[in-house]
Amino acid sequence: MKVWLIVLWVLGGRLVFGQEEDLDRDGELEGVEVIQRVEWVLPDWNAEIFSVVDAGEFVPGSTIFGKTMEAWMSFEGEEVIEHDPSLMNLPEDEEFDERWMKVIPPNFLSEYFRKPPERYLMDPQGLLTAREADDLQAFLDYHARDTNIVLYLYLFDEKQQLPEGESLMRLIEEHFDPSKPYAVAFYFLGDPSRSRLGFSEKIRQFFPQNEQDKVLRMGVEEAMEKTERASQAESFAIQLSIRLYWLENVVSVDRGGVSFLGDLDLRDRGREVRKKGHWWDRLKGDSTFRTFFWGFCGILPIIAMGWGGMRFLESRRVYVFPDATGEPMLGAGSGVGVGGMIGFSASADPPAEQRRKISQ
Amino acid sequence: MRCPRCFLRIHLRAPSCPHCGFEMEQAEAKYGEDTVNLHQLTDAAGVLRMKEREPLRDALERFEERFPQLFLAIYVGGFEKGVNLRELGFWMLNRSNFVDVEEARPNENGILLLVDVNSKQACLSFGYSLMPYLSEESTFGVLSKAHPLLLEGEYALGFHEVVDRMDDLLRRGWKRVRRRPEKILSAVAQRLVGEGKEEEE
Repeated sequence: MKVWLIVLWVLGGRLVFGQEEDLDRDGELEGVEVIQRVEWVLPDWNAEIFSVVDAGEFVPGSTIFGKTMEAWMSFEGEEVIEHDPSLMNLPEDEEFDERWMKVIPPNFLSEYFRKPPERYLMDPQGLLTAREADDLQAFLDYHARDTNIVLYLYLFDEKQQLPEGESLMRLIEEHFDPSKPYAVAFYFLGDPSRSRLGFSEKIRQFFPQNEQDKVLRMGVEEAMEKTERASQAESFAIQLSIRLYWLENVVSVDRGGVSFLGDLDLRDRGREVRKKGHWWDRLKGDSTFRTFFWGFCGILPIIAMGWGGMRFLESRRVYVFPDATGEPMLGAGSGVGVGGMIGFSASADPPAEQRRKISQ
Repeated sequence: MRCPRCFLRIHLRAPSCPHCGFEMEQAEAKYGEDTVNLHQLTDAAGVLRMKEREPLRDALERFEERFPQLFLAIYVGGFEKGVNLRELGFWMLNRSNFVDVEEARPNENGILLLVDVNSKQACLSFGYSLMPYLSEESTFGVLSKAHPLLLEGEYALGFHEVVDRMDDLLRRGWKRVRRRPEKILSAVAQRLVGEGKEEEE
């Protein structure tokens, strides 16, 4: 392998590349055309400057930009920097007006506050993407199928303020049936801490305020674990669903298995979009049915084994007929039993037809 | 009961058929008086394959194990045109000596399945001991189950079907006679000699 030698000549400013063995007598590469030779001449020290340096009266490099270090260090005044006039009068940035972010567009107010919700997820402003909204709606539908305390979720933007005179409780009082069990949440996308939660009258009567606040607080805490707005909303809804489910079931256990919702009208759930529960789901919820079902499943193997055992014994049984005697008939010593007779020459003459002919 | 020749009903005590005069002597005059040695499974017509015979013998053996007093014999032949199969079956049951059947199982405890491959007919005949439990109607039902197989020429399968159905029929008859033996036997002019008993392995 040829080893390329890099030889730097600081001798008149030349840089030579090449193989030592390829260098000619002048130290240059053979066959390489030299285009230009640059002779750099370094300054030489003259005797006068050398004597000054030697005396310590001048320190090489002590002047920068025409000033000595001493002058730089002793500078006390403010130096005015002259700017380019064209850059002097740039307009300042306008203060960002956040007022528009706090206002709910008027065309959505009726959707929010003027009528009962048509779905469990109320997002008239389209703050979520279609996919995100579908997923959240599907979850709220699932929650509604699984529990009796349904959850309505109203979405607002992070900084939006409720119009004057409007509130969560007013919405509940004006547009929700007090006899039904539900929870209504106002959720501010991007700022879960501003969320609000309200319950139907019956729920409020049963649960103290601190329990209601706890449900909201846990939902907010769960939402704050996430950073993305849609994920926060989802976590908020999921946690609320869990808490509502607990409220309904655990408290029912405390009441001896009797649901505190027993006297509420659960037959008609109003206008919410919800699929009817499958008959099997309803049966599964019935404790009596469950008892009989699992009891039957437990007994079934026993029955099957018993039946199999009986069949086995049956197959091995021996049948002994009683001894009987009688008079011979038609002079026959062994028997006169005339059994059935059948023809099998043609499929067009089935046994039933043959039997009919015999019967005639 | 019915006359083996004319198939009309006759009284159980009638010495001969009042309609056609049939009796054993007439059958012997027609088919012979000598005892005929037969095997329990006789395939004179050669319709059974070699590999089908052993399973069929096993089925007949299992039948005998379940009914230790009885036996079931099968005769497959090709007879002349015009042969009365019921009459022939009656004669064979009374004049045959089934050499491979135990002596403890006399012909009166036997069931004979007679098949004529020429006329494509099959009939069942049975001895005195089986008269309380089998009838012309019930045995016709047995043959009906085997009819589709016989129609297709599946003789072995058809015979297996006959054995299985006969098994069911006799078990039901056994259960009936357990409950009311005198009534069942008296219907065919028979009476008990000893008590019916059941053995379970």
